[in-house]
Amino acid sequence: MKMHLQNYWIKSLRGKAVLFLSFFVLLSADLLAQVSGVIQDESNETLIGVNVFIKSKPSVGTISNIDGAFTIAASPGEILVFSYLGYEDLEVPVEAGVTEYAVTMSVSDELLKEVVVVGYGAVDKKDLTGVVTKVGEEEFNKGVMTSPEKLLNGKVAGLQITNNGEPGGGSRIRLRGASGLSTSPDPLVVIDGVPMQGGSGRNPYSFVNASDVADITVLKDASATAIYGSRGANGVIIITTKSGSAGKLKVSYTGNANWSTFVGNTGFLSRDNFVALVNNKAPQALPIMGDANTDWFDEVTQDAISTEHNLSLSGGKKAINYRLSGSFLNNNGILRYSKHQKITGAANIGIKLFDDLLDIDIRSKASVIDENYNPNVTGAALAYDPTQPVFDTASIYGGYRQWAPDVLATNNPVSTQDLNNNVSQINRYLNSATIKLNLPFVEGLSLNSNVSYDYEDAAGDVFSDPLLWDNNNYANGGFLKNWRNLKNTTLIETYGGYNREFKEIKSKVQLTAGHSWQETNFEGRSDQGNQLLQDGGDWIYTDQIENDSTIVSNRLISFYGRMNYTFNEKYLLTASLRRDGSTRFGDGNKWGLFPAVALGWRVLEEPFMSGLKNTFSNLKLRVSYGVTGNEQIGDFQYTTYYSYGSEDAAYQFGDNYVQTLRGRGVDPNLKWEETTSTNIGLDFGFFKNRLSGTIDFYNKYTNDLLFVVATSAFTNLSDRVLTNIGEMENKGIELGLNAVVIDSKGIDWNISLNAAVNKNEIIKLDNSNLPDFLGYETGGISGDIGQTIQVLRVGNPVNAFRTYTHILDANGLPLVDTEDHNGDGFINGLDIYEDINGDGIINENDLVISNNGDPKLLLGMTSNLSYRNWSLDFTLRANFGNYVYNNVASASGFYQRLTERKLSNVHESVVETNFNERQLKSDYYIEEASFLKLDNVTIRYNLPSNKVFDNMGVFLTASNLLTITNYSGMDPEIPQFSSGIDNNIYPISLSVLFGVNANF
Amino acid sequence: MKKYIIYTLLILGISFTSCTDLDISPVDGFPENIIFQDAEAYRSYLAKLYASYSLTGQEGPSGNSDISIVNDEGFTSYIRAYWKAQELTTDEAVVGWTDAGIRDLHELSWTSENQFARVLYYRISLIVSIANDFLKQSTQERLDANGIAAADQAVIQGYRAEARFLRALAYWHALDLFRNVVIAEEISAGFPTQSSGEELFAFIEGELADIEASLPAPRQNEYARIDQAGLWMLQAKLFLNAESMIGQARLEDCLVACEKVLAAGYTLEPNYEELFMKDNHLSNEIIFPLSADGTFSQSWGCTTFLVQAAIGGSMSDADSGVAGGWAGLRTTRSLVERFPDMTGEMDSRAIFYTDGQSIDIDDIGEFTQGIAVPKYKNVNAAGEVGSNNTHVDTDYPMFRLADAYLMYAELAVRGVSGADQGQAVSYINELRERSYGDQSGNIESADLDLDFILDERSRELYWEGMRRIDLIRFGKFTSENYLWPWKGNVKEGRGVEDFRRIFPIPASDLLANPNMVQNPGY
Repeated sequence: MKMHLQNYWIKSLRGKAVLFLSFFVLLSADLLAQVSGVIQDESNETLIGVNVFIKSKPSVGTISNIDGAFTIAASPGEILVFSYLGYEDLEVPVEAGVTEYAVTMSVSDELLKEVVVVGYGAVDKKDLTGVVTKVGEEEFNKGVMTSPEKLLNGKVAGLQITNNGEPGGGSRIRLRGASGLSTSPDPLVVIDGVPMQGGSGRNPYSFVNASDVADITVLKDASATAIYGSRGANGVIIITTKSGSAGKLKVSYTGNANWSTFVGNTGFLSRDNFVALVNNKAPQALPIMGDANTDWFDEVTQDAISTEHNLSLSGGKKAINYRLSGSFLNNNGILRYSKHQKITGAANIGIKLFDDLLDIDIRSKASVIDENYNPNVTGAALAYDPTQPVFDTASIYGGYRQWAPDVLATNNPVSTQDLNNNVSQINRYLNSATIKLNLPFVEGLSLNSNVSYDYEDAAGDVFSDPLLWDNNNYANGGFLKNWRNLKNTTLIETYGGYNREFKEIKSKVQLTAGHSWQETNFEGRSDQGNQLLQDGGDWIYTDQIENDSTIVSNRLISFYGRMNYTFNEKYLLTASLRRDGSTRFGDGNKWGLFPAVALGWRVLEEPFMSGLKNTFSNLKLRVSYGVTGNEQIGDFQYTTYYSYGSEDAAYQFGDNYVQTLRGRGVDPNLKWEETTSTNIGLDFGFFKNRLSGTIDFYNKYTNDLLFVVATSAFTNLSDRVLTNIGEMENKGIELGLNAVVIDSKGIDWNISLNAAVNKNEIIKLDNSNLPDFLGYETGGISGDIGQTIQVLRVGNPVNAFRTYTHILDANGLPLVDTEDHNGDGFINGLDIYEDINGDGIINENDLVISNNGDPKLLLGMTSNLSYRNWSLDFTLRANFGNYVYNNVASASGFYQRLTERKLSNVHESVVETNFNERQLKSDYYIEEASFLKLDNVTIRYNLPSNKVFDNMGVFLTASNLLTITNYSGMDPEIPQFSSGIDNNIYPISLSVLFGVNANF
Repeated sequence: MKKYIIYTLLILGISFTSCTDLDISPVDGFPENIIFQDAEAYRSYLAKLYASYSLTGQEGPSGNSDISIVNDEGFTSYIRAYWKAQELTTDEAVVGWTDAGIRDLHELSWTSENQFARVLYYRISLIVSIANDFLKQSTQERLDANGIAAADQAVIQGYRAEARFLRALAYWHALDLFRNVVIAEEISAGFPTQSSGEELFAFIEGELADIEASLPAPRQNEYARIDQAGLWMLQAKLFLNAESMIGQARLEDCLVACEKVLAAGYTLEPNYEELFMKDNHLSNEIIFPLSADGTFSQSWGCTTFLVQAAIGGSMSDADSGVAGGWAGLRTTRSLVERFPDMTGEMDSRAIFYTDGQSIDIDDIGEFTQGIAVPKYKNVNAAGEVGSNNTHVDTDYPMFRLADAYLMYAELAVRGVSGADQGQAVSYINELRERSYGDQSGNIESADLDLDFILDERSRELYWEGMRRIDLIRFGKFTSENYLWPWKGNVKEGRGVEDFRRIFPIPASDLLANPNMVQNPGY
């Protein structure tokens, strides 16, 4: 107690409110007085339920009653804080002798005041006409975020992000369904103003440290994305990294350790069941069966520990601000050896000169990423005979047990992991500078220049030990390949802005016009050879087989302009136009024009709505229309280039071997894919934005779809070429809702929900002048060579499954393929499949089109709950109506499989189907794979601030905690990477992370 | 004021430096107007045309495939697919693998989605297209425009005749296998029209007649390139099968072509086995080979397939000069019993491996059921192994003299005037003396009938890609009166519908070209 008193005296002498004051205050209650008052808003309505507390002791508080009145015990000098959702916080000092306070709170327009970046500028959120969603840091996903887009998963209506489960793995990003087929379906990613042109490694964006990201803005409709012209068709994701701000030096540290383990069912027979099945179905193979008990899947997987550290320093003065950050991530996968390790550094510096007339913003990022791509041996591990041991001391193949010299049998997956090495290091630097000159002669006029240079130097080795047995490797004495890819992208942009409000005519005008020049140069070199020798510890090849190089460039040149006009704070107009020229198309098709227009109406500002202002806090109607393109195809696809073959694929003419020359078949008339989008949307907020949201209806219609198709035979130099094949439509509804469920003393609970429905349909295929045009086959599957399971056909969604209808028995199980069910004397397809056209044979005309792999409905839900120093966040995601073709089951769920390649384990589905032969095209393997996933649960505890830390917290995050689905395979979602075909995905893991963060 | 102007100009200056230049070319590939200024490019392009029959792409043995419609490059080898279509569909061969559609070949139960038929169809199409592009790039006008020297132009004119021959050869296969396809003479966009078998036959006949004089005389071209004798062989086959294909009797024309071949100076290889060994490029019997080489001409098709797919069971890889077998191909009782004994003691053409192999086949999937056929080997007679023990050196004999002997004999039996019965017997006996080592296997004129010819062709030419077309010509391919194990997918064999004498147009081309109509029955 003495200590406390001492503290009190010291602090009070300094005249400051201090942490321990409350103890004294509680002890000396006789100094307190009751103060009271009534709280009103600006229109003199009383406010009920306002939080009132004393700033220095937040635990002492009350709420206003039904008359807006409050009473609280407070001492003079203390500060009363009034807090109410939708209103600005208000602080009122308690004055000696005054006990009655009339409090007037003003409506917060924080949400409306928010500024949103939209590409070549920013606009006030309230003036937006396009469909734009901004996600701030506090809403980001937690856990190991190896690249920035993963922060968004489940947060934005209509934005689907699927992670492939590899360490540092890539994401499949789809916004409102893919607008194309062969073109990249990913949205354009813009990082600090620089449109990205891909990158090396598992994930092209992992060079950006996720903890450097300040916010991410998603542009969805064409009126927002048309300013990005030929790259806007799939939407735009704008990532902005954190800057420093004026003030004292802030130091922030975040670190975590993460443990991952495999969860799920591999779907293959246990050793005992396998042995029983061989005895029963393939007794002729018993002589080659072993007596070991090996869980091959367990042999190739591991529990993985990953660690991450982030440190940043930021601060600044009036004319300069800075933020410096560094990170280290060591991300291990659950397949042995697979690994993603990265070191990043970033520096953002802002300089203001000449009384803020000149703004210079410099952003530098550097990263070193080490990837270890050990082969995904999941398929081999599941298939390998579990009665065989991993090692065999007599084996000449490095001591690993093999079926060698049989070249067709499965290779020992542990040897594949141990004796292969496939690593790369990617050094990447992205430097950008934006210079903004606010011209002094005309108010509101500015000139911007944005220059960036993205440089990547990726190099790697692929090595197979001479002792590794596989088809060719052992005979060739091992394999070594060295490769190096250099890539640089230069962007030079200049745009002018004119931003001015003319109060006298109630108008606000924002004009932007500019020019952009972006060039990417790529140079790839590799050399490889066999017959390896060890030379002082390093492997070298002695028989060079290939020396390859690729040098390509592409260039995109653009002119663009945009106008935002606001009249009377009610009527909004945005119009934009972009003209893009790309080297990826031939003469006559190089240039494209991409216009967009949008209207907005802030209905709530109308006089006739004044009576509803208590109910609504925001109401805005938006309509937009625009055209965007997609040029994300390979370079020089429009013209035939000839190239020479390698020396080992030459042809004999007399005594010489002549290197061959081949031209690539092309469609010289290749042109832009164009997507025309319309959108109608409504933004709304109720009850002081306690409930707010957005609903949008959209239609995206793509013309001149680009796709690689089989050409008409006898017409072209390639059997398949990239060409424009038809038209496709995506239409849908998106709903986003944010609700403040509880906002009272100590407890805050926010829930955000999003839902999206998308319907995709192929409208026209250019070949379909015949009514019974079948469409194009897609969706290659494994289990056999050259088989497909999907089709593009008019009136159906993209990549719709196309299968035989398997006849079911009385128990609902598919008929076995070993009986003459129809009694015609033959055992063939007619016994088990529906003869749809009744022509007495089962052939491609009996294949039936059904669903596809895309979800029909996406749901996301994020909950943030905090109570005092604790918080609990979680994200739920659900997909409905997505179908999966279980290729893992179809390729190995039949009895012949047991002995097809020596002895192989089989998929457990065979126990149900009793298929003797593979039935790859049976609809038995099409499964509905709707799911609900609990992605992410974080519990956090914030320590009270003290002299050392501004704040410090510890947190525990569990990822991929729960999946509810009827799908029988390993994961219902990851097959979406391959349009719904499930085939030996990277094994999925559950992970638990413990982290600390501290700000000094 | 001044400094603002400077800043403004600076910012503008950064930007509008390069403006609207969209002219970029790749550095590692060449457009036609550059590459064909080099006379060597035509030679390389012609090499591609030949290589398209045996190799699968621009990298050996795989890695840069010509065909992408089937995703295993090894499957896309022309001659591998051709061999399967001609042999697996008959009594001469079965395969144990279970790749979708491969068993359908022997079962005579394929559909229009059969990938082995599809790959063959697209290979044929590709050769036609490459030939058409070659002919377009080498017109007189283009040669002049590209500044090709007069001496080189003369050589390239010769290449043009070879390109047309290779196109006609591919179309011959199309006529035999798919019958009703597109006749194309240029690269085009859009949907060309389908032609009938009669039209295609006439096209091939006309092309061969047209280029005959432009090809080098027999044995005067470089090794592995076509000459007049190869063209006459193709003419002989075209006319011999005209009746079964398009209903026209052209046997007299066949005799003319055969006689030209027989007079061209070819001689039988003394040792039958060496025709299928690594040094078979030295043989004076082979009229037109497809070249393979373990070092310079690698693929997973051609003879690499024929050597390795035939090895399994207790067979020695080393005896065939390779490192491993693929345990696939064997033969049925029908072929084995066509020989007097399966050891080859009497007729040395019976190159069979019997240890641990049963003559009966209950399960086609078991390599040890059925007799193995190590006819093709990557060794020479002295036992020396080829340059690579995975990719073989052995060339594929597409046309050889013995076939001309047998065609002549067949014409004699069929009563074609000018085909002499005595000469026929003596040709047959030449072949039999080679394989028996003496005259013990000789026949007499009375032995010579159509059944004997068909059997003798099988004994001499089995596994050389001729059996299906021979069975069709003799009316036995689909017949219920001529059976072999597992014909029609029953162990003892059964007849099948006649429409299976040709293959279906692949479903993918029916999709790609709305003008295509499926062959009857499919």
